[in-house]
Amino acid sequence: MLSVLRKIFILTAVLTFHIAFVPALSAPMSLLNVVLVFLIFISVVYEFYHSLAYGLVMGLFLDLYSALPFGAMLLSLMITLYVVYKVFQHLLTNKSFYTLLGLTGLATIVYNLVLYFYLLLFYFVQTKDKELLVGLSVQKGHDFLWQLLLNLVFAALLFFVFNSISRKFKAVFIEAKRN
Amino acid sequence: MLYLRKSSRLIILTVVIVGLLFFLHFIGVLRPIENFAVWSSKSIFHSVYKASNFVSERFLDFKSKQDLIKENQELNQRINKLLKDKSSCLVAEDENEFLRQQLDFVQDREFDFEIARVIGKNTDKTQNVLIIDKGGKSGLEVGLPVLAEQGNMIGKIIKVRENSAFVLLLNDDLSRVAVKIENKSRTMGLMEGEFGLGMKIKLIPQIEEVKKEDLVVTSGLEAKVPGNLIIGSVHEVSSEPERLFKTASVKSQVDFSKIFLVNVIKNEIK
Repeated sequence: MLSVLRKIFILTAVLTFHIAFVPALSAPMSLLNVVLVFLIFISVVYEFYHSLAYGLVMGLFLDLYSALPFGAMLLSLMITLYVVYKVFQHLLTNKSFYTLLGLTGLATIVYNLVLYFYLLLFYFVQTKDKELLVGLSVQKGHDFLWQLLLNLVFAALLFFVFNSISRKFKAVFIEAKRN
Repeated sequence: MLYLRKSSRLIILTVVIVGLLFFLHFIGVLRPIENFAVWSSKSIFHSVYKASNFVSERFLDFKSKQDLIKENQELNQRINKLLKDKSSCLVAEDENEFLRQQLDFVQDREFDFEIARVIGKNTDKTQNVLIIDKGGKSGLEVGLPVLAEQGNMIGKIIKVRENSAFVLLLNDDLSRVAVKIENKSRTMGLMEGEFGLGMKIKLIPQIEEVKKEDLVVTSGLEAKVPGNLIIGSVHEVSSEPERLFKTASVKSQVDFSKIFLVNVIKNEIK
């Protein structure tokens, strides 16, 4: 029961921070993607299915607060988590600071690419204006670089805070005694 | 082998859940849960949104020295202009009052409106959209104009839920509003947003005389948008002789990043 309440509290806190707090900050800080960094952090520190469950609830909730057609956020998050999962399982071997940063960077790229193509399609259907799409791409490219940087800094911050209170990231060495 | 089976199972399960969520959303089964989620979260979101604006304004609003000097110069110029305007206004006010009484000219327009609180911004960080705490239940519809606290139009409603709605700000690329410039010839045009940074009126014929500081208002040509709602003023006019049309950039008096309360104009009662 306590565990469920704790999860609900974490969900609420992260969503509130993402939906109401971060967007009102001045640019470029408003571009930070708290939900994405949180999900990657969970999938690296804990089991992948934890982040998948959180991702499903958060994606659904974010779609309620998005003007894009239903499912845009949910699908983008799910595709991103799938790619991160595959890379984590097949290419990376340990839970380290560099793994966390690498996966956060990868997730930011994949998430933005999926959302960008979705947005291009959405704008093109509505305006049929190719010039607008070029300008939009330049703007989104600029935003993406800021978001990448902010997400990496936030992930690093989370790592240091978590590392100071938990042993999940600490390496375990075999102590060899000399006789 | 066992691991592969486990991961495949997980992926299939996720696809099934996502598919199910889509299906339940589109047939409307999820609607009560969605409405409850929005209803229960909007108060806390509004408070956090206000707190965030406070933090941003107080501690995170970085401006360079050059920006501050430029802003100061602009404000000084504006004060001087306003002082001149005020003195001429005082004379005009008496004259105007007299003429009004004489001509029995009463502009009697009333609007049916709905005050709403801003509870956040678009979560996908791609469009310039505000989320407000009133929706279809309060009679809001897609296409209705939204005014800021100062009475300036800031956008139009693009999506409505039962107890929340999405306002597309005028500076978004998808925003299109039929406007009128309050100059001698009452130039009409279509104002478009520019990458969330500003607004432009394109396709103004070269023969039209448009000046800086000319007032820009809604033209009233759109079904749900009444005429003469103030949008802003002309900030810059770019005109090249070899081109058929000129472009005017429009500046709003409202800071689109600091809006807490809005006024949705539902319809005009005459």
